[in-house]
Amino acid sequence: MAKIVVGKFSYIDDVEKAINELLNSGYSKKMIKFISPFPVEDIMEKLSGTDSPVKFSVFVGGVLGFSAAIALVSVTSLAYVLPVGGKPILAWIPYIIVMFELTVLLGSLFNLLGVLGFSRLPDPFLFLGWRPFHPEFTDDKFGLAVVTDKVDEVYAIFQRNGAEEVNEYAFNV
Amino acid sequence: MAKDNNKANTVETVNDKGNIVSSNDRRLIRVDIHEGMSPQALEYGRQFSLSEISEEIFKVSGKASLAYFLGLGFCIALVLAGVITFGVLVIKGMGASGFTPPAFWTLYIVNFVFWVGIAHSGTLISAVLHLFRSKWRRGIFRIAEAMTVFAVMTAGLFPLIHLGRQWYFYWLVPYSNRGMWVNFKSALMWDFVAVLTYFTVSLIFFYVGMIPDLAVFREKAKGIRKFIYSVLSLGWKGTDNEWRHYNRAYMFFAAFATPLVVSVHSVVSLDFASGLVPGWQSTIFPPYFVAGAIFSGMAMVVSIITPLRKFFKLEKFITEWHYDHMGKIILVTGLIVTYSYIVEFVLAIFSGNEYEFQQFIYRVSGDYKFPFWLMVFCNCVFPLLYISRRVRVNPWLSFVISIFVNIGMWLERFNIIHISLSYDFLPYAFDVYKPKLAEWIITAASFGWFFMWFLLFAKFLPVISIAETKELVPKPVRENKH
Repeated sequence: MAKIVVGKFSYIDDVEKAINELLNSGYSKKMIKFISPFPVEDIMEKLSGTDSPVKFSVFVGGVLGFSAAIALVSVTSLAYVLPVGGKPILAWIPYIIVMFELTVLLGSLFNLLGVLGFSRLPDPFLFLGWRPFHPEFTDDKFGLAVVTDKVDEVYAIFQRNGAEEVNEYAFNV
Repeated sequence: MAKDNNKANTVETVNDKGNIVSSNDRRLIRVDIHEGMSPQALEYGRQFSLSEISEEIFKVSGKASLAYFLGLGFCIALVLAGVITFGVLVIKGMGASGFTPPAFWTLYIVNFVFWVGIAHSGTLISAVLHLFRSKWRRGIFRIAEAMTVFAVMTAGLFPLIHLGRQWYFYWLVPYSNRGMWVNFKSALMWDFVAVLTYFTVSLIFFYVGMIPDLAVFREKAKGIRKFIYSVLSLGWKGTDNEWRHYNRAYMFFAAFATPLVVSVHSVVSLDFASGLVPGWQSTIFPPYFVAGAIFSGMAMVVSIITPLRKFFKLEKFITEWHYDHMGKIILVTGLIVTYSYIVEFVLAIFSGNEYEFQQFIYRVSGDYKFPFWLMVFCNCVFPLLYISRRVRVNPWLSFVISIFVNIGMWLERFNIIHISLSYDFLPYAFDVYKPKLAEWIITAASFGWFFMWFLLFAKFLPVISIAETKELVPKPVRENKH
């Protein structure tokens, strides 16, 4: 039965060596999760890359915001005709401000939804304390979590590469 | 597999000088996180250990001292005085304020523009400096972002107070009011949409930036506070996947916030520039207002940070390095503001518009000459002390200059609004506006309201970004230990 093996490390180069050994032993990148108190770009690059699909949600939000602004200003102007200061009824130049603001507003809201959705947050399991998580991973330690049914092998790789503590869990990290 | 392993072990590395020291596989370039850092940034990062950063920042949220409660109590007392005065305004009407025809925009609008200006600097500092990958931003940006959110919350109160019939404020919302719709060609509607967007985006930016730090607090706090931080941190773990999306989203927020700031304060300036009043209708207003907003906002950051670092013992986190850069920004934006003042006068002189010309003569020599010249001293002369590095890196001298700048920028808004309104076209309507007690109390209450939120923020939330400060610390590497 597959388990989660979590190793606690103090040094970045130990983590990198452990990741290299895991990859060389046939573990796929998707089976390995790196946990750190701050972003470590070169390890992120190695495991999951630095690009993110959040950009698509931002794009959708921006387009929706822009379209909604066009609809809002044009429908309201035509529904209640109010000639002001010699401006045309559909005065697109002053409306640019509203269009820009709504584009930014919905783009930002969709950005928020995107980052939460793709990161699978909020995570009620961690919130309720059901998932294996070491408090020091937010402080000064680094974690490696591997999904495996060869628990002993991963244990050995972690210990060979300087893990200070190794634990196994039944739940996903 | 073995071959791949060899490749992985011979990746390119970048040494302290930024040179590539070995190479085999270009796809696996490992760039040192400290590459390109200034000596000050390297020195700043080296003074910390990772756990020390979490510990010291968390300590700020510890048990509050008597001085803290006295400060908070004073702020709450000011807010209560403001609430009572507002009640009097509602009962007696806006006549309780110093409305003097033709000056129908009172101190409430001065305060609105002042606080909106303060607000604009925080997100700009955070967003623009993030896009430029500036390292010194990390010590101060959280405080600047908090300042933005609380300043918009303060600014937003004034249009409501100024309305007179506050119970009709919802008429600003675009909905069909018996067949009538709001007028999107009006500068006031642009203002409503822009400030609302700005507040929402700033709040999200502030909150998202704090999530990893709230997770640190979650692990350190106990009891009810642990529960609250658990909810607020949304179960953040710090996995590579979370950081990947987070970094990208944060970059998008910064990219959105930067033009948003420029647009919002430009829109605020259009409230004036699209009017026909002498001294208002000027094409220089948008850039002039944006520069003024950064100028006053940066000064407010210095005014807040200096006592805060002393009071919460954050001297190690907010250093001369930060003061030096903040001083430079205040100096440069102060020069832009000074240039704008000169351009305003030049435009008035050469415009051929006698009302405009008379307006500016009145500003320098009329009934309001004292606030005008005090503004010139505070905004144009006194900040020139920042030319000296010794002044810039001195926190308490910076604090004094920042207070003068804040006074000067408040007076700038007073001068723009009241001198123009008091002295417009028809001599029979000229009059001198004198604020009444109600306006002064509500003005003081706005400062109480702003600092009340700030004191609460300092006690409950991470005042300095823990994760981003940790990025400046040299990476813990076993090889360095031997």
